[in-house]
Amino acid sequence: MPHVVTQSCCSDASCVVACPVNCIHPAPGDPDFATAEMLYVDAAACVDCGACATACPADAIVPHTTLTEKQLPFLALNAEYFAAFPHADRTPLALVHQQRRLQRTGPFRVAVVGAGPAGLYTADELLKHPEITVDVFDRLPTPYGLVRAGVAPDHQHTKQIEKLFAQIESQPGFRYFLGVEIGKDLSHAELTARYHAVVYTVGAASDKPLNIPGDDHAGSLSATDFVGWYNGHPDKQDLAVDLSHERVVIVGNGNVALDCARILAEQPTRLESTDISTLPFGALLTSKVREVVILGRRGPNEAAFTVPELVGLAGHTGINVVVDPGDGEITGDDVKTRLLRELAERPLDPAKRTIVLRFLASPVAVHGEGRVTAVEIGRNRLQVDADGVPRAVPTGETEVIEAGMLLRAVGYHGLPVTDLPYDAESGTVPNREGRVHPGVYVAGWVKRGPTGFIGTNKSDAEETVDAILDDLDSGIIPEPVGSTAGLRGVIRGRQPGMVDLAGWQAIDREEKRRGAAAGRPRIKIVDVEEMRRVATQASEPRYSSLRRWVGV
Amino acid sequence: MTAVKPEKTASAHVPQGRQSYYDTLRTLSEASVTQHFRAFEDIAWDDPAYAVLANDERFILTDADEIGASAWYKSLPKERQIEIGAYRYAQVAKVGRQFEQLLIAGVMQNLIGMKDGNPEFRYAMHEVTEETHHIQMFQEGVNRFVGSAALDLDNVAGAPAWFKYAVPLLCSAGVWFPEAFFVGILAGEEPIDHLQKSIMRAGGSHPLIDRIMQIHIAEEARHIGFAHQYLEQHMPEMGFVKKQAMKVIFPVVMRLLCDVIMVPSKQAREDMGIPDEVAKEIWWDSEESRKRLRDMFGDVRMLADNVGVRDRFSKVLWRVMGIDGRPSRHRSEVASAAH
Repeated sequence: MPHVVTQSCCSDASCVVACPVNCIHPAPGDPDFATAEMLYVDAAACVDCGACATACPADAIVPHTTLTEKQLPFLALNAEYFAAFPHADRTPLALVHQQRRLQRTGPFRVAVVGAGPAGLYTADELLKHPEITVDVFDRLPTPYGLVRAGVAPDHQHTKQIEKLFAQIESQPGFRYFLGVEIGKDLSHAELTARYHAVVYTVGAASDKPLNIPGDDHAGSLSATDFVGWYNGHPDKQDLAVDLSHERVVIVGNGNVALDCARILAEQPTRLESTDISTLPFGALLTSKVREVVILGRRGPNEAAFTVPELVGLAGHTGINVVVDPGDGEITGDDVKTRLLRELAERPLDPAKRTIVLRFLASPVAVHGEGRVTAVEIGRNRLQVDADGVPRAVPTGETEVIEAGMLLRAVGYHGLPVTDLPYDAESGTVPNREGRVHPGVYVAGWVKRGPTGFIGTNKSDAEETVDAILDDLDSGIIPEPVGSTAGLRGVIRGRQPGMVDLAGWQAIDREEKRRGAAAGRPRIKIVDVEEMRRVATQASEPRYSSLRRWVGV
Repeated sequence: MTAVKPEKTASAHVPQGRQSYYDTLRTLSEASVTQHFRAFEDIAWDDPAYAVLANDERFILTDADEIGASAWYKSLPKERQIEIGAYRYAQVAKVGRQFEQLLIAGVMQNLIGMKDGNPEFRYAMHEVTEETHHIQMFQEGVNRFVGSAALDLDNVAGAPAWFKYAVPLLCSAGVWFPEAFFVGILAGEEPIDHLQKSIMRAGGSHPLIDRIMQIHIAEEARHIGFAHQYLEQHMPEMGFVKKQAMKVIFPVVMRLLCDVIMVPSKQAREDMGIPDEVAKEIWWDSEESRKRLRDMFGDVRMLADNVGVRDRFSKVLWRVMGIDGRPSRHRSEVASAAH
């Protein structure tokens, strides 16, 4: 009779605290929390009270009686976890440490650069302390980072986390300075002069190159850019996406690769009711693509995609999924390998588009006269190295397949942050538990590298905030020479189109209004100037000062 | 107990797994069949580890308890802390049992006239069944304390004397104003649940108390879920007059019943030897205890906001009752210092 965690789980783990019987694991603090692909409910202990479902920001937890047939593997997946990790020594309730309080009285001001999940979780964690106020900056006039510009439009459940972000941003002590670029409109030095602490949560905006001949041809794109394109990122709307050839090759088989493949192979009518960006949707309507080949250099057991996403793909009735394991057999009896075997045996429906999950295959070269016409693929075999890790080794065999577009999805990579140290290898800012040096901190991907899920940033932010509290308490951070009094005016002077909370809420309302008219959750505004224009129409609600005075 | 309101469709997003009210009741009912606890089967009363012995430091109250958090309590010698702690645990269990009795009596009145086929009947009966076990469990727990070496008394004071005379009146609300009665149920459930969860989240206390609290928290989560669902379903169906009345009744009932359950009666305070001026500070005069009082009702504020009975005018009343503040984001959220 249990509740079941499903595909959109983002590891936020608020459910762990909500559960009255401590039956959701791995919990933050459990050794396997950092590496787990999702959280699971122990069916033997769950009392079906539904408290966890109220806590889940991504709408992932459901009573098992409402599971659809394609969601049934999650029942097995939840059970599989507890068979392997029984957590027999769990306490009756998840332990919650008493909130740490600052020893000094403050007030303290913190600037957060980047309004994505990591930035907002950091702000939320800081605002648990009445001594702290937080100003959040972002380059774009709209916040929420990859939740807005990364999460695939067919994953609307995941996007429900916007509701949590809306609660975070409306707390007392929270201010937005959106559409303001640090390093251009305002410098790092100006921030450190005005704030006790500055936290960079700028993510990992770039991706890793393939380093093969022809990678720079037209039609060879980064998956990151492609994702930004269909999600309405203002900088990516004129990306040259060519959908005139019937095949697309995607290199790398992580969740981003699956997202791109689904969007390319999806029947456009199914995307109609999502918040997919308008121009890309038009392009997809006339797309000639019939097949998307996803290349994984290692075998099925080493696939980078997560099991929940595979379950989602396997349950997709509108797309053919072909599994090509290379030379190897798919062994194992877990949900993942069972699904892959089942997919490998599935008949093809010629009316539908096809996603091919190809394993033990790497791109060797991109062919074409200045633009992609074919991809040369080399076969690999697995060889276990000295550390026991299976590595891909080229067999020397290659084949050439025609394709009109190549997407590289081999991982995000962080860009250097102006005035901060940079580790080019990992694409992160070197830090110790979030501290770059006292007064300057990082959280999210720029801190730990591009791993984890949206909610992983919550525990990540807690660690960084702990470092900030340490430094505020020890007095190692010098009192800032300036203050934030008049900062709004200064920023408005330099960037007249600065967007505050009311402005963002106006953009949000307008997008939803446009969407409602078309039966969609929202229609994203993709032009920065238009965003700024909509935002300026927002005005302070009337009588607000009177209401504040009366106190209701 | 009228027809079920159609689901709201205002938001474009349809939460997955969101069931209709009656389906939720079915889920809760079926869970009560497969996951339930029995007072004399699921607690190893005679396990030596559960023995109530004198001078057991595990009875010392922590900051999770109002008394335990007070400077007065912390300044007492250890033996006195243990004595008071043992009494406090027994006293809360006793009032808890009295509240469960009130709940059963009122629910029974409410169910008398119920029409056939209404899933509310089945779940409410499951809840009553579970509450009978909670009553047995609480009373047996209290019995293990009185007369033990830890507590040299033959009776622990429960709710104040007036409460037992008010019970028939409160129960009858189950018939003529069931929504208000369910608010009363929540007012009894939420504070004690909050207190017990705070104790368990901080690591627990004596094993017998921990086991009792563990069982109570587990099943109470379903009961609270039901009360929330019941009110979310039925409040919007109320007529204008009842709705306006509810805006007043809601915060007043919350605070009144909270005090019955959380504030030890005069007798109990005397038994524990809490001086009046200290008692005044603990309930709820000091800054710290006022925050504690507010924090108990975060989930209730969330519910009240959802059903629209906490508008800007009635919020004044919430403030007067000392239970205003931010609503929880979800059930069982831990309040922060800034709340």
